[in-house]
Amino acid sequence: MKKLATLLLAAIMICTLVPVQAESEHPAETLTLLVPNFETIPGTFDNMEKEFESLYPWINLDIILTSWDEYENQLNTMVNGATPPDITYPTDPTYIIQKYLSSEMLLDISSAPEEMQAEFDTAALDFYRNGDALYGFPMVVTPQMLGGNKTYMEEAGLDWRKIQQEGWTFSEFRDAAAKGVKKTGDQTDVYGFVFAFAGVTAVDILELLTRTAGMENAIDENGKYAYTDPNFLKCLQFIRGMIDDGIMPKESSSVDAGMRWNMMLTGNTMLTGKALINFENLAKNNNKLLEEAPESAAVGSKHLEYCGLPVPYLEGCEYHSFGTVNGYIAFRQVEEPTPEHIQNVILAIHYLVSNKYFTIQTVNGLQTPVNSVARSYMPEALETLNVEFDPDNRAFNELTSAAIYKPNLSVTAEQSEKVSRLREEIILPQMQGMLAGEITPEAMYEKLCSAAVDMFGADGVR
Amino acid sequence: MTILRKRRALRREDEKWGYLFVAPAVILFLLFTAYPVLNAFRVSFQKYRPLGSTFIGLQNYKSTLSSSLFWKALWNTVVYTVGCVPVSLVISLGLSILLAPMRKWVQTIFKAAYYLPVLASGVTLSIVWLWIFSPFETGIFNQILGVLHIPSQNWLGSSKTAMLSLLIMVWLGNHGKNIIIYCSALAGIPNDLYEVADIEGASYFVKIRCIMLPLLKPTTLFLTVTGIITSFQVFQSAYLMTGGGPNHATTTIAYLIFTNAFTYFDFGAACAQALLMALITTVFAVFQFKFMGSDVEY
Repeated sequence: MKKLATLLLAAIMICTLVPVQAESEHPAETLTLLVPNFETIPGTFDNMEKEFESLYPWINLDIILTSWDEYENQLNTMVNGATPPDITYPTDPTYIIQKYLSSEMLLDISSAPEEMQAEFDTAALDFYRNGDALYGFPMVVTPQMLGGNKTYMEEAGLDWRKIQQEGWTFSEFRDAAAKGVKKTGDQTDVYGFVFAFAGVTAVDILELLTRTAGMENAIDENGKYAYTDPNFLKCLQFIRGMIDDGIMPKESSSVDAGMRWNMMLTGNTMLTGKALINFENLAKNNNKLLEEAPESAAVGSKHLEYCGLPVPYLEGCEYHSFGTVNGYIAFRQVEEPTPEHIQNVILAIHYLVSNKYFTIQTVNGLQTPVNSVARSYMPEALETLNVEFDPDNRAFNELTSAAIYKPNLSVTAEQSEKVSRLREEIILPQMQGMLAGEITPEAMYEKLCSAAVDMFGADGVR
Repeated sequence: MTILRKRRALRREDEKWGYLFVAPAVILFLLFTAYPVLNAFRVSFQKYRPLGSTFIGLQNYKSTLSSSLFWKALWNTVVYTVGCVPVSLVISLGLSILLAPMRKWVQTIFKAAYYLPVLASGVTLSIVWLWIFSPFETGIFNQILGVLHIPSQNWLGSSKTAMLSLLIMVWLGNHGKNIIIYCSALAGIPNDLYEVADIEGASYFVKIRCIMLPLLKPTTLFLTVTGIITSFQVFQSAYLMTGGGPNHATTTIAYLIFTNAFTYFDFGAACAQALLMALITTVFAVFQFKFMGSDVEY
């Protein structure tokens, strides 16, 4: 009887110790995750959270969903208040990493196992590096492009398929866009090209054109500021020239993102920018509404056959597409991060970029995951969604995704701060003035060069 | 002696209750006004970093005062204030004088109508204004210009018209508070004065010049001072309508402070600029009280 009691007691002790042992291996931790709501399939975040917590029960994900408009301000406030989220979803990782380098709040996760890092496409993973540090994991490449109205292009005698495959130079683009202009007297009914330039988006076009004009990064591989390159002036002349020629509206400086897409839907422009490949879905949805419930379609809109198009490149330069490599980055808190915390963050980020639910959503947006685990879910995702994209657009998207620019991994916090100041204090306001016709491209370029030399020194610029 | 002691004890008792009643207000003031101001003063001498700032002396003030952008922003703020405050006061006063003889219920309807834009969200209003200022022919202002055979204007996209556009927004839609205050002040003017003026055969304009305007002087001083302080802090319209552009034509001091804080994370410079702005506003307010308030009775 005594033996039986002893055995029973021993068994109870073992049973009670096992969970204690498990708990001590993985102390419970809550990780905060700040994300703009990019959910396109309802329930994606809920499903991810449930699956994650069943896989890693000791980690609790506290998801803070915010709007796209609020996201950056909220992140800025949290980081500068020294209470950043543990993980966040930057809209542009290279920009955000360089922006926050000087805050010293980014968390280096380069201790992630090599086999885990090997799951990612190297080029995409590089967007999350700076120097020797790795600050996050990528999910998908989202190339930015231009969009076109196939019908108008064909009417203008333009072979959009050939352009998708072979690209076009600045001058070819200008000639092609000019063919799209339709006028009634002095009134322009259809513009050749409309780009969203209003407010702070004035410089978006330069993000695209600098990549195709031999300036892949603001700080080049030699550590010099690149936008003093004469090719920068050619980009400015190219833009201003199209306004002067009437290819773009003279009111371009006030055209915002909503207005440019509306002009595309109403048939007031042949080409637009910036665009994404999944704008095809927006066009198709509106086409469907025009057929089934015209009162719900965009006012004055017409049937639109959308095609994605490459950004033109400067003669003699290599074509590199600009885009974002979306994913997640990690921040540290004020207290020194423990190895357990870093490990938990790595597990969380890895899960977030490689789970099934996220893959289904990316397939829905015609994006391909850059992680091999996530890619393994693609057949299932394609079956679930039955997504139909134009095969030419799909092929072009793959082509331009593969041509994404290479980020400079050796930009210092100081250089990054100077680039940001030049962008906000010189390029943006001067660009607004140039679009309004108040400053010439040459004057803007000269002002930029002189400010860049003041900031980086004569040897610090290209 | 006993009576004196009792009085003192009672006074102490009263004082305790007094302190207790003002405590919430004082605590709120210390937490949300005094502490942030003192902290801003401290940060203005630092290179701010979330994990540990460094003391850099007067560097933030020096770089602010030597920045051409700061002076441009200050100039823009002054232009905005000069364009906004006097015109707003004249419009508000004019409307209030027109409202004054009306029946109470008619006044209430008009006051509510003029106050309505104050209640609407700034973001919502900015969307309406963006539509009004649309550079294409669909914009209301451009349609009006079209009727007058004047070419369309790129209202917010040109540095020649961007600041004017922000001022038009104020001139046309921001009088609710001023009208309510002026109407209350007009209602407080004794009727005897108007009766005497009637007996003397004074016209309505003479009544305005000799009775209303002098007796409204304290109200006008108050609205001028608060108007200038508010105008100096203008941020929302620049942020939502023009983003400080084009070419910094609408960059105001408050917008510059915001940019320094949330674009460059240079909180030290932002605090230095905020304190300089507070100093400038205080100097303006003191001058106004000194020169305009010399014959004002409160």
